[in-house]
Amino acid sequence: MSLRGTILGLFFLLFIASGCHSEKKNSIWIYTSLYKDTIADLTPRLAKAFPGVEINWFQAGSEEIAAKVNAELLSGAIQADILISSDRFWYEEMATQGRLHPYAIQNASEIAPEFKHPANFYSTLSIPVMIITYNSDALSVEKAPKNFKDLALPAFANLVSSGSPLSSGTTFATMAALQTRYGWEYFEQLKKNKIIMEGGNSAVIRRVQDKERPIGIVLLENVLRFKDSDARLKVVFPEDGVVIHNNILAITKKASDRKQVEQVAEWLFGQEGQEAMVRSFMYSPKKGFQVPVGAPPLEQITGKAFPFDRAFLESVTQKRNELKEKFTQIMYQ
Amino acid sequence: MKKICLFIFFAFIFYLFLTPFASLFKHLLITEIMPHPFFETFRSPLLRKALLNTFLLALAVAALSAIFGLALAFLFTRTDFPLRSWWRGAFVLPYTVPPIVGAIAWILLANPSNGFINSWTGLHLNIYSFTGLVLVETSFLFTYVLLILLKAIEAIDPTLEEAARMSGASSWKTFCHVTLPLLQAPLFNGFLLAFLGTTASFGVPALIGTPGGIFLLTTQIYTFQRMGSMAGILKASSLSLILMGLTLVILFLSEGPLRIRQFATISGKTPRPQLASLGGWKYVLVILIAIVFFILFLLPLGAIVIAAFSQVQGVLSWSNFGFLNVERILFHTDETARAFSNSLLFAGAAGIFCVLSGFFLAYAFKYVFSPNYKRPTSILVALPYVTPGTVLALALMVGFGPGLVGHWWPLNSTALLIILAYSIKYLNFSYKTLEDGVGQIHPCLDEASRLSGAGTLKTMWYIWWPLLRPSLVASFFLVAMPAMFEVTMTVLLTGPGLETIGAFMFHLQEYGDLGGGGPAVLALMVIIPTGLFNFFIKFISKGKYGL
Repeated sequence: MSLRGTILGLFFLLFIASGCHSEKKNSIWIYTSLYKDTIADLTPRLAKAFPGVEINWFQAGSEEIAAKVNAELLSGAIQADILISSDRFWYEEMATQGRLHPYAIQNASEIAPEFKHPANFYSTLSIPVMIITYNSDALSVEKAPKNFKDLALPAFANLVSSGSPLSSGTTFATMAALQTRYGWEYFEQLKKNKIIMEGGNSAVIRRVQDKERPIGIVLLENVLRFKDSDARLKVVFPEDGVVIHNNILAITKKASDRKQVEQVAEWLFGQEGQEAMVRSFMYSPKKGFQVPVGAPPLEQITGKAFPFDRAFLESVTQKRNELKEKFTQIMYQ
Repeated sequence: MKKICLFIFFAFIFYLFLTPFASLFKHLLITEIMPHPFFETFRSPLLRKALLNTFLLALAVAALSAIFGLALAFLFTRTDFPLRSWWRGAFVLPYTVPPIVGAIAWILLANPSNGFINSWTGLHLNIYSFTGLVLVETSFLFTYVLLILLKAIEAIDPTLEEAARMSGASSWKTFCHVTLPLLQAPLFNGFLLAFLGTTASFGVPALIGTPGGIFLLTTQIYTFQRMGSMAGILKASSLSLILMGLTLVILFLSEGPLRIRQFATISGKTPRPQLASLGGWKYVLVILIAIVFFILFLLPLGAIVIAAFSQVQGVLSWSNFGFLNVERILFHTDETARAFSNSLLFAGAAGIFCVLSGFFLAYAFKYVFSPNYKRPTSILVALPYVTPGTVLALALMVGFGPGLVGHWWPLNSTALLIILAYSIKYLNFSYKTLEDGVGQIHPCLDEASRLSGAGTLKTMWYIWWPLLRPSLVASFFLVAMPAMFEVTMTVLLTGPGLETIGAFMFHLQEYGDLGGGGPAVLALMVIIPTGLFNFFIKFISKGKYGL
């Protein structure tokens, strides 16, 4: 008797637990690597713009989002409706595999073609910029690095940290850009310099702040957020060029109606959505928007930026796995 | 009827445990990706290095955990060591703390550039090393051995030791010839748990091993998985299946040729054991234990406190300390309250599920089914525990994401999938504990009760419940505590509104909390209440309950 009761109880427990979640109608799932405060900023505005639509956010690093979506695809049931993250190469692969919904976002029509997929599978929602930062408590201006290449010099041993290309999409794109220009020898030298490449950009900022590694390869927006609270963090726009990134927005291909999802995408590329990106210290890919507080005009720093054209995009997309494997090999040998 | 119910239950457990892996395997078989990911896995130039490093690390951690756990368990139960109960509670506390917190704290304390210890003492400690990894892993995993041994020692009939002493054996001789042989099976179980726990761990190796260039199997799996491509996911799955194969061999050996004989308790009520006198060594040992406690617990806690209250990380001045991080995490972060309530709910549900399932399994093999099925079941239950969390999560998403059965009851991004993940991952803990517990209750007690006319319910209440209560409570906590702070699986399985403490902490540490302090605040919010709760429970139950 007690045994039967307990088994029934077990099933009851499972039943109750399943009740913890119920998918509501008119819900849109956005998987994103945007910052928490950006999401907090967007949520009430989206709720106002789309009454009756429940917007669900799943926030993680770009590569975590890729892993989750790939796992969902493997299970045959993708949940995400909109993807916003910074590993543009992954989006290229998703587009090739026919996983994305082609849609020409009208509010993104004025965005330069190099920031969009030629068949409208995705578009750049905002532009993060990879720079070098250092803690002025630990280094003087004279001793601070002037460009990315400097970081491989013995003088910068035990001083540098970056995110991991396995966690962060922007770090992967930076690694690809640096590898294309300086080859793997550059990374072998970084390894000799005991660079720490782990986690996302937040982890880098923390290591720079607590001086465990007073120099960091990090996104400009991460440093700008500390403009008022931690003046020790200084920005270096590398002389060999910054790395311009693409925060991509794509709509997934699903059996359900995509109209409402398209409208949300339009909104994000509209006035309110783009202003939220700028408030998050990222550049808007559209003309007519202010630059982020404390940042120089984009044109001022793009002159010497690492090239992020279609040739680079296609080449890196093709050898994405190879690049990550080789990187792992160098860092662990 | 009892047999049919248990059979249905077994079929359910088998289904839960096998379906995810079978689905993953099916995808590997039918993939059209060429070259085939399974064979590509072997081409990884670092695979041999990863295997060797993982084996050496797991061996070192398990051996140290076993030695340390055994010494502490003996000291806190069979000697006149002062304030035994207090020390016991203090030393098992790391079990309630996510290992990732330890890693964060030790990086602050002993990173080679500006770790607090290095800065203050002029030492050159480097936490980013093999030794550092062993230290941090052991400082958490020894609690597995300690908890299992404490319960096992409690169940030993002290009259056996008394008999040895009355025959003229010294305390040491009694320990070596009576207590230790009785503890062989739980000690080996603890060793195995620590060994397998190390092979499957990811959080600590990611934070400490990665900067130190220490490549492990879980790092390789992570690398594959983060390729961002389907081929990468399948390579990660392939390697996990290989890892599972190797583990199967270890488990098969441990259940077969290396199986250690288990002893049973015949008496129903255990008298109070006679405590060995430590004599003059008592105070030396107190100082030694206090130093170890200070290094393993208080120092990391101190580092966490500094990080939590530093308004700007890395500035050690009074003016920099404040409640900014606390305020942000407590009052301006929606996820905090949700993470705590979700973690309690998910871990509690998984704990109850595992306690009941563990008991049914242990009971069934003792009284209902042939013990021949015990070995395969033990292996089946242990497999998910040794499978890296990322892959188990992936298998669950593939297996149950579309539906619990076929396309019925989709579980993707639901609380139930997370609870299932915890239950499947940690059932091994409760099963092992309850197997030991049930194994130590001699069948003659059950028979005596039935001969006296008691039914199943009465026998359970008057015989099983009093004798098994400590094991049941322990097995609940053994599951609920790590489940509460689980990171790797939850990160993949979570969805909107399903945040948990561990995953939220990891998220803040890696992505969401620029400037830091947030994860440290969360860690304190976990450590302080859990510690207080544990001591409170122990105090009101006079040491009977709590860790």
